[in-house]
Amino acid sequence: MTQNDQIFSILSFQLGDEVFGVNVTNVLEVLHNKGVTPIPRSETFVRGIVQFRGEIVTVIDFSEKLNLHNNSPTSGKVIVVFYVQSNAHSFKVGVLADDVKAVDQIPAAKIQPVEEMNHYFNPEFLKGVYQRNSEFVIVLDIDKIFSEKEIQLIKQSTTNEKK
Amino acid sequence: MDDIKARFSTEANELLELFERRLLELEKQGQSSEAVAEIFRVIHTIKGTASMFGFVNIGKLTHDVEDIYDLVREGHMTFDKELMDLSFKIVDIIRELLKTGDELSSDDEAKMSAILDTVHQRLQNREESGHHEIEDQNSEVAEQKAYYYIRYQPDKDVLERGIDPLVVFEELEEEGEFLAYLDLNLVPSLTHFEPDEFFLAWDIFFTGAANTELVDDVFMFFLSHEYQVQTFTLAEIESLPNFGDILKKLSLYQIDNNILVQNLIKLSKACDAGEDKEEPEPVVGESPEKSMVADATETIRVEASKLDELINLVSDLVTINGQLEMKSEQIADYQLEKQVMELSKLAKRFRDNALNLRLVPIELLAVKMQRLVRDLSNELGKKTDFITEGTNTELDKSIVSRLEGPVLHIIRNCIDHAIETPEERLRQNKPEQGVVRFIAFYSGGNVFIQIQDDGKGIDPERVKNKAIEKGLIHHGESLTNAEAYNLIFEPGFSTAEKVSNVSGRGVGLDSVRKEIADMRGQVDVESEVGLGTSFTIKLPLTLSIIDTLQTTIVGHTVLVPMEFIIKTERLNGGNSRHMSFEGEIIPIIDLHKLLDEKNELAKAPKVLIIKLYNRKYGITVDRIVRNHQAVVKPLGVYNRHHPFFSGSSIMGDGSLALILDINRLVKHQKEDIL
Repeated sequence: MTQNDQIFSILSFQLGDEVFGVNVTNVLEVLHNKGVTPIPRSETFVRGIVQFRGEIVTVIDFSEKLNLHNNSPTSGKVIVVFYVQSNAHSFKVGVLADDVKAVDQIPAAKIQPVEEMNHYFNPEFLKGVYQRNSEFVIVLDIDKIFSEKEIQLIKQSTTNEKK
Repeated sequence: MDDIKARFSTEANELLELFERRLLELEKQGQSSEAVAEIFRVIHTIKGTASMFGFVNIGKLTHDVEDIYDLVREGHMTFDKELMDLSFKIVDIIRELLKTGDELSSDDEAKMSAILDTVHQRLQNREESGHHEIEDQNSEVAEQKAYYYIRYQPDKDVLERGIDPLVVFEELEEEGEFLAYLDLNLVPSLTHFEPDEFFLAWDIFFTGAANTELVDDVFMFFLSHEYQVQTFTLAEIESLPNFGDILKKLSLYQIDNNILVQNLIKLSKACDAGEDKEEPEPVVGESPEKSMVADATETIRVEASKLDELINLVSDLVTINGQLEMKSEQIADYQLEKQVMELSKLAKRFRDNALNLRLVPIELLAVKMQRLVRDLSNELGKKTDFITEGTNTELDKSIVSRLEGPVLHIIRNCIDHAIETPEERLRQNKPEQGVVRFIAFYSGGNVFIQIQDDGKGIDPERVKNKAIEKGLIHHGESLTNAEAYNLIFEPGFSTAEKVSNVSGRGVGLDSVRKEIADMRGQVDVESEVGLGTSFTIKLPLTLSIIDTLQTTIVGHTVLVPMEFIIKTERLNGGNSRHMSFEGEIIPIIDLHKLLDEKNELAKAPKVLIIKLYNRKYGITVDRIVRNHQAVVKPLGVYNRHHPFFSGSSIMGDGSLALILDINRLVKHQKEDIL
């Protein structure tokens, strides 16, 4: 099987004006948002924490994290809980969304690279885009967004802030 | 590293710790055959398994090293200073190799070859000086030892007589030890060779039998001229009547006088060993095993992660139980309430038990500390005795392992800065040997650790001058001694005039205080000039549960750790940065502003008076709800380094609360003002 024959299961969700897709292997659960406990003085994209299976999970807002500033604000009706695992770390994290749309089986070949000029956010975080009916689903690279490097940057920025 | 390798590594590390402990014991108390036997056993075990699990370098190292300990065990080598130092180096390098998965850095390679050089030299020296040493040592024994020289030359017809000439060797072996050199000089050329005739002869050296009679017994089937027995001792070997002839014959085997003597000494050794072997060996082998068996019945090895999982589950149980309690209160059904109460009791006992599983004795640190004291004292030319008390005090495993850095740092400081050189100590009428004490004990819900030395103490005046120089305090600021001592924990403070390679590693006591604060602990220092210094570390028994006061502040539920709170007050003086408390003016930390920048200080909210390192602060809150025993959960990856919250907790109603970290809060506040 060549790489292009590979089929991805993509969960798509609405966030403001955009529809995003993520590989379902990263998704643990979709929760109804019954209230997020805010943590004052944390990063702007961190909306707070929720309890998930007895654990504390940080909830973040992709419109901030991915700099979708032209996007209309999210209602945050649902929280998509991701499990991120790499050699260096593993953790659970929640992401606000307006609604979950569908799970599509998409062959890798159908996911096309994103033209850099069409988007206002970091293309490094994107896997590509595919079309479903009239919509374009932007597939996110969850492992990159939550990579050790990204987390490290946050640590540095908060410590710098302190100084 | 794969699973099996990791497991070997864990076990080897445990063995090394034992090894190290025994070494320190030997150094302190002198020779102990039990310790030496255990040291040998450890190296032997590691040697036996290292290569099997792919640790080739460890295998190589231990293979050679084992010989040395074998010699020590047999009493042929003494555990002198060189060997002691060598042994510690061996421990270090094996640890390093275990850590890197048997990868040798060039640095390690140099270390390893240095170790092996010393080992080989030791072994060689022994071989060279071997027989002198032994001749001296065992002169009485070896020289008085009776040897028998037997010229054994059966007649040609011995086979016809129906006797097996080789049978004597079996019997000699039973009676003692022997060396037999086959003499082929009598074997004729093929033309004269008769297959049924016997042409062999032997020169036999034998020792062990008490008297000649026994030798006669061995040769009872032979005619007297077939075996000639001569008794001799090593000293008179050269006076054997036909010694020249014998040597000539032995030259065929490249054996000269010296080698023969050495061989005979070995023979006598083997003979002695053979006699002893029957009795003592099982005893030697048994004692360590016995203790292991005893241990095995008392302990079970469980992966720490499994315990963590258990604690997590139990914490959830307690949380859900709390929610159940609230619901049952609302329902107000007597039967239900009674049962829920039973469940609560059970859950709490369950939790206490589970938390107990994670407790380990602080003893685990003792070996590392002892080692540090030893190495550092040697390096700095100081004499230091290290005394531990209460090392069976138990603490959460995670605390014990995180404590290592700070504790070793303090001890390093004690030896480097506090303990004087032996000469200096004598001049001051102190015993030549300094003392560092490590004392651990329980008090209340806490564990206290004290590290005391009898060195020169800390001069508060010097500390103050230094602090002024470093801009930490203003000139003329009046400080009590206790306040002055507190300054040594400030970042950027170091009283050592010059940076030594021991203490000056770029981290000061401020990192010690931070590490300990991160464990919700505190560290303090007291000192008396000329008499010594005492560091006191106060730690919670466990990190996962904490007594708090539940408060609300601008809509946030905030839990304040109880141990810091000394009183709750109403804010008396309007919108000020200070307040008076029991005649003292103390700073106010405006949590309202910290939590919500736009917020103006509300009218007369409550103030919690907290105390941290002898300083008091007021913290503003809106409402005090009640006491809450919080199961601490981490704040998540994005807030690991939050400026003043260090955890969260699930409340009875399922909502979440944030746990205030007083240490971080005070630090944050100070930095904000600066």
